[in-house]
Amino acid sequence: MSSLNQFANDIRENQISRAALFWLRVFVQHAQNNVLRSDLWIKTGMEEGAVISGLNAADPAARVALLSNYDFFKAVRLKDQKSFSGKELDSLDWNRKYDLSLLPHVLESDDAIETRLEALWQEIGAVSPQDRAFEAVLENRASIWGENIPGRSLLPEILHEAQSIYDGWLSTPVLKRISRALKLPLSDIYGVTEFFTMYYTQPVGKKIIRICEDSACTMRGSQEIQKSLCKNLKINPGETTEDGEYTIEPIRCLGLCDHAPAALVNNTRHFELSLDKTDALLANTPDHPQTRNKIGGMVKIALSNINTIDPGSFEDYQEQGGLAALKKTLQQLTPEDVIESVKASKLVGRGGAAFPTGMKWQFTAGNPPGPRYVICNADESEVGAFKDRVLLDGDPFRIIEGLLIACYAVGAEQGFIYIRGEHRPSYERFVHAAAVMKEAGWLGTGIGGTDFNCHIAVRRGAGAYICGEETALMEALEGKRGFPRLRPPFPTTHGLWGKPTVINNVETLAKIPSIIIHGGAWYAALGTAESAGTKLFSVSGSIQRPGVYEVPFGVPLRHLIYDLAGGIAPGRELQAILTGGAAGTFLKPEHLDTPISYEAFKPIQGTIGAGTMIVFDDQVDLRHILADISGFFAHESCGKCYPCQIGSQRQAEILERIKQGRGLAEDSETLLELAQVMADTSICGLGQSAGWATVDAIKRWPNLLK
Amino acid sequence: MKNSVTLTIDSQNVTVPEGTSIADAAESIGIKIPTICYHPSLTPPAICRVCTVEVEGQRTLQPACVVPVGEGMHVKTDTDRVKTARKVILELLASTVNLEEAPEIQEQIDETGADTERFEGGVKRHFEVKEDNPFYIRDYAQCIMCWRCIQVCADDVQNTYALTWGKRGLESHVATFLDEAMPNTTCVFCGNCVGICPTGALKGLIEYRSEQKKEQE
Ligand SMILES: Cc1cc2nc3c(=O)[nH]c(=O)nc-3n(C[C@H](O)[C@H](O)[C@H](O)COP(=O)(O)O)c2cc1C
Ligand code: SF4
Ligand code: SF4
Ligand code: FES
Ligand code: FES
Repeated sequence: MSSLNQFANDIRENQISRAALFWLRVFVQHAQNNVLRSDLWIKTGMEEGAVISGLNAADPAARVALLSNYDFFKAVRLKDQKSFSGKELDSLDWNRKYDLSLLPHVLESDDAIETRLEALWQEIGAVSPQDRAFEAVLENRASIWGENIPGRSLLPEILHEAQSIYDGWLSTPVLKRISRALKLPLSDIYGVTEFFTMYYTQPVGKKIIRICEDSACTMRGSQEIQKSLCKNLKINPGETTEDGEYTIEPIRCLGLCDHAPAALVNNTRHFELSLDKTDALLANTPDHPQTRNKIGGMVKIALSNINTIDPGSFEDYQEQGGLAALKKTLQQLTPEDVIESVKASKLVGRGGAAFPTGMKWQFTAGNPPGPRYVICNADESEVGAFKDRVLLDGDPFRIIEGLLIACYAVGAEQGFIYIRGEHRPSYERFVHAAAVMKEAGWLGTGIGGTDFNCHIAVRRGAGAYICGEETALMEALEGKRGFPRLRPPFPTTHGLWGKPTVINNVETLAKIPSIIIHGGAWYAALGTAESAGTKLFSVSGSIQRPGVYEVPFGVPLRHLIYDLAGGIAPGRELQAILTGGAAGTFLKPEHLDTPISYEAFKPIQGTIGAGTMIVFDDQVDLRHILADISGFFAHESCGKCYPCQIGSQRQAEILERIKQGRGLAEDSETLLELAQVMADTSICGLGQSAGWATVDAIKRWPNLLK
Repeated sequence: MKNSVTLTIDSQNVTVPEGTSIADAAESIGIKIPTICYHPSLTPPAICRVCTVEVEGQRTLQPACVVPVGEGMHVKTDTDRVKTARKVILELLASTVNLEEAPEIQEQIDETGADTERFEGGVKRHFEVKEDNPFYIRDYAQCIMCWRCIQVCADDVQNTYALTWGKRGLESHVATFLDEAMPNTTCVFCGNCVGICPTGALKGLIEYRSEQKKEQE
């Protein structure tokens, strides 16, 4: 057998790494008259090898083995022309320079050595199946993610795909490959991977187990479950087992609080964990479907299809009256009519800021002609918030219909939906729904046989609560770190890629089709004078029936908490309800008969926000809750502006100290001043509101933190 | 010619060209507004917020380094609310970063009466000094995250893109690709970052070595 055949066999049998073949090929490609200087050989090889994934060109072992084990080469030292071959090559001093050449027997044994090596390289060297899959992704990126979308904005999606192809993490060659494909500096790509918690630049376990550490889940024992898993696997939270099977990663609220305690294993959801079901976690075999929606309420608008239709079936959706609003819009209404109707409905944004939706659309529509966009904000990640998830999982076509109507109203031909990275089942649902609608002619060009063109791109987040903030979300969509922007200018004139942009919450858009069908006045009449229509509430915590409830504004809080959500467990008392999310305020039992509305909540300083209600019974220590919440903000601060970057951390540290019983006399005063400064000077809503719950708690229970 | 705009700053009338920042307008009548992250030749990131002022009608305080003047605006630069904000921001900074070699910030601390011990005892920006190239050292325990070095290295000046941000929140820091040593990055050792760093975080190697020597003596 010729020694080259022997060499090829050794590679096939993993006796020597394919890097050796790589080095031989580099030599043959770059040698002039069968001579190549050693330093040039190494330099060229390092450069070319750096972008071949799975190949460690920087490791000299394969190179040295190639020289000393195969009797292919001769080296002539430049200084004194001393010649080395065979085993002598083992101990060459690589700080010196040599002229390397192949021995005659290698060249003679097969005179077309270049062809021979190329064939070998194609067969066993060049492309691993993973590389092949990834190259296909890069090559087809326009058809996968949409034409006419600037390259950089695909970075987050490409990072996700690369991770799922390459064992869950991003190695240096993979990052370099992406850098070349997207023409982006490596540092820039690294900055993005660092910002989002779901990207890994170090190897991780095959199964990443993320157990929720927020209150609805800890109240039901999630911490004990994490402890027991860690003990069994002999690792600490945040670590990977030695065999590379498992990583345990602590995580904040997963938006599955209606199924607390909850966890993710890779992208799979696990509900209602218990100590005796940890096997299912380890095997990643949940005994329940991936979506399960606990809902209720008297007037179902946004929720009307949930649990009644198959969310994967476009036919089901249409049988229930789906698409009627879009058809009416395209056939009977001008964009101005649509905006008038939405204004008449008095619908305000359901993402927390309660900005009038019709006005937002009108401002955007009023820009000079040119490209513009509509974004559906499906990044729901706040503690205790899961109502958007239920809509995403249970009725994707309605949201796309609402998004299309918004695009029509403002003159946009491109819409986006940005879905929280942890909600992979929801993402898959949307990818499917968009494909089905496109197939049926309801997305793309000439929608429903009219001249309305509109594309919808579905995008994933990657573990950053701040990307729910609208300008941070736009940065993330553009493929950058999710730093909120300075305002003004506002998105209605300078949004995505600096173009006019509408951004709306999932629930806001889910209300649109009904408003178009029944008219704005109908919707407005459902609520109170100053709070139009219905609102979804995510109710969780110490409550019998956690779930998403849709109620018209004006019903008493008691109706939501007791009639719908089942009240507190027998034998316990209601202590407080945190309304409006982690940046919300606490209501007490005495507020139960207050109507739920913006105007009735104002005097009692309740918050509607995105509609989050976390209920605490008398056994909950609110100091723990405040410590948890402030820890959440410290973890999620983007770090851009000083008051929040540092202030959110100091706030969390003080509250943690109080939780541990080491409070100081001046703590309350310090916390109040800090919260005021953060509210006054932070760039975005996260920092501005991070101290609200604490301030509110001090007001309501002046001795709580003493 | 640009239109001019008239506003009041601390009750004084001032007329400046449209587009002038509040900070520049204030300076034109001798009112000095403290700044940290602002640098006239870079895109202002507006992240430190010590230049904060009160603008009548605005819910929050406004960063004077970037907010342009408006006709009839009423600006106040020394209310209690403004003073507290500046003081607390400096207290926060002092609890995180070693400010010994940042004389301008020291001055601001003195002026505002900031209590540098107030938030002591928490997580700090803790890094070992990085001495990985023949030209300069990086001592990120002194880094105030003003972004200047990242900006000069990227679009604002050099287009070299050796630097970026690692992590986020209080853990955010200046980083290179995979935290590689400078010689393994795209850095061309132009020294722009060292020149523009307002603290002792970036320093010429020779200067650093001679300081080390002095300290040992
Ligand atoms: C820190 C932060 C996080 C946010 N997260 C979300 C979110 O997950 N979903 C959402 O719709 N709005 C979120 N918002 C509000 C958005 O900035 C924006 O107001 C909203 O998407 C607008 O849509 P709407 O008018 O339909 O409510 C967040 C705001 C802040 C400050
Ligand atoms: S307030 Fe917090 S989250 Fe918002 S920009 Fe500032 S540091 Fe980032
Ligand atoms: S190293 Fe210097 S210039 Fe760079 S961010 Fe830190 S303090 Fe600013
Ligand atoms: S999923 Fe655990 S608290 Fe929300
Ligand atoms: S100087 Fe204005 S925000 Fe830093």
